[in-house]
Amino acid sequence: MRISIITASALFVRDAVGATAELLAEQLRGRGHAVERIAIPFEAKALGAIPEQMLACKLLELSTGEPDLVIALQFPAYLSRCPKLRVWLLEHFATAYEPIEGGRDRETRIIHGMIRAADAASLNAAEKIFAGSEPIAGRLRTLQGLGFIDVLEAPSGNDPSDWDAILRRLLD
Amino acid sequence: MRVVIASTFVPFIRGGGTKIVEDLHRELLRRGIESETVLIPFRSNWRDIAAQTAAIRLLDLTQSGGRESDRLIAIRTPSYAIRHPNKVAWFIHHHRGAYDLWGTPWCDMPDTPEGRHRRDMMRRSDDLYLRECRRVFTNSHIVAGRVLEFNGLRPNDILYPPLESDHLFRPGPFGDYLLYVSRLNTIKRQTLAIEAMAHTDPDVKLVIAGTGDDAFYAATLEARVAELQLGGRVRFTGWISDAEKAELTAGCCGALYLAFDEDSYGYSTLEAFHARKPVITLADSGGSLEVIEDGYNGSVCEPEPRALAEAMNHLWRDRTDGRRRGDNAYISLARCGIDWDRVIENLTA
Repeated sequence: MRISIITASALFVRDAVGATAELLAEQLRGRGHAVERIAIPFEAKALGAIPEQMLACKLLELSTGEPDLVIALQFPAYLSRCPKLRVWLLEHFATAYEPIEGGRDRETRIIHGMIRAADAASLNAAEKIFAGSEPIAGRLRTLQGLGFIDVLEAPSGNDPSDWDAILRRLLD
Repeated sequence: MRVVIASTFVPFIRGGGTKIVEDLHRELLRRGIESETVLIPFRSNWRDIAAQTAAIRLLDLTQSGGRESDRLIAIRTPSYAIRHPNKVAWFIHHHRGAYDLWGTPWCDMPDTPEGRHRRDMMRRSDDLYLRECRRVFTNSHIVAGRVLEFNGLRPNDILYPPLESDHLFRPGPFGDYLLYVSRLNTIKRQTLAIEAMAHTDPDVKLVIAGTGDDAFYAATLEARVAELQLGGRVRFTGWISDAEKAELTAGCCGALYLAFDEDSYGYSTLEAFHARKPVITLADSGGSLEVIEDGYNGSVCEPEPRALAEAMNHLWRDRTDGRRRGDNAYISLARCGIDWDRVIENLTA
């Protein structure tokens, strides 16, 4: 299969999701798949700039190259309009889910609301969703329509036997 | 200095547009410059381009990870739409259907109100975003001419893309075959090389290296070789590694680059030059004509089989002259300024 793995992160920064994306790519290639790593630049520190970065992800054609499958690992990469999108959510915009809205300014409340609404729409449209941890799964359960979400914890190494079950779930 | 190299690409396909990004990144790192690449998937379907350009425009790479980036180098269209106060473009081609190919049989856009509207959008967006760049460089005089003609902007200079510094191409013996390394594609005109073989001396051999995205074209080439009974003299290698390519280049008596109306000279021309081999190209090949001079470092002939056969015969018969041209080919690299130091000095100044 041709598989695109999509992340979204700051440039010049090596984060845990990027490392897992590399391991996932290596495991898939080791099993004979053609893999493309797509890293969308994303700057999470400036809250006011997040909506336009979300829109950029929505408008980009991340399914270019006719992949058989697109696996997104990170907010806001999964906002893309991909017909064969599967989400293994290793990192999302967690603060948008924190239940202390009254203590935040208006702009923050609005942007957090946008993030939750965009998450709900995109994740409901995905073919499959898995969470990378129980806290992420718990937050996603607060979104309408998603139902139960399985947790797949990312292995830290590249032992193929640690990845077998995960790849089965992602690719089936 | 922190540099971001941005470009667009089609996932799962590697070509000149991705190679230039990878090579530039590597060369910046070698010089101790902090570098990061951004490759944005881009579908070149004319109807999808405006929305994707808007997406690219929404990206602001001024800061990353809380730190400023000093320079954005934008390569493939329309990556120069990314917001950055200190960007330069190393522009390698337009969406040609909206420019010089408009109204020709090779145009991918219809001459309808919608097609014209979208053509004009592309031109205006290029006009605007290229002018935001502190400097605009192109990869050939041909592309520079199009930027001037269509966008009304005179590029600052031509920066020919060099091979990576640790390439494997070295001189070798002048063997009994000519070599054509390229993607198998109608625009590369391997057919013409095969037709020419029917007119060369009977001992001339041709090796065609590369794979194709069009299985029908590849099958057509093999069928034509059989039809002309050239089976023992024309060999297809299929996909080969860089090491195999370097070995084949080192052992040939000359190389071919027969593409039609290309924007640049093609990496295989450079590879042959580094191996001190002369290159035969055609009068309508485009970018290769900027570096290949007839009789000096190769041959330029008319795009027809007999003229090409004559040029191939010459390199096969007269290896002494072939060596002279090959030595000149190597000298041409410096003469044309095909050099990473020059590229990086200009892009980071």
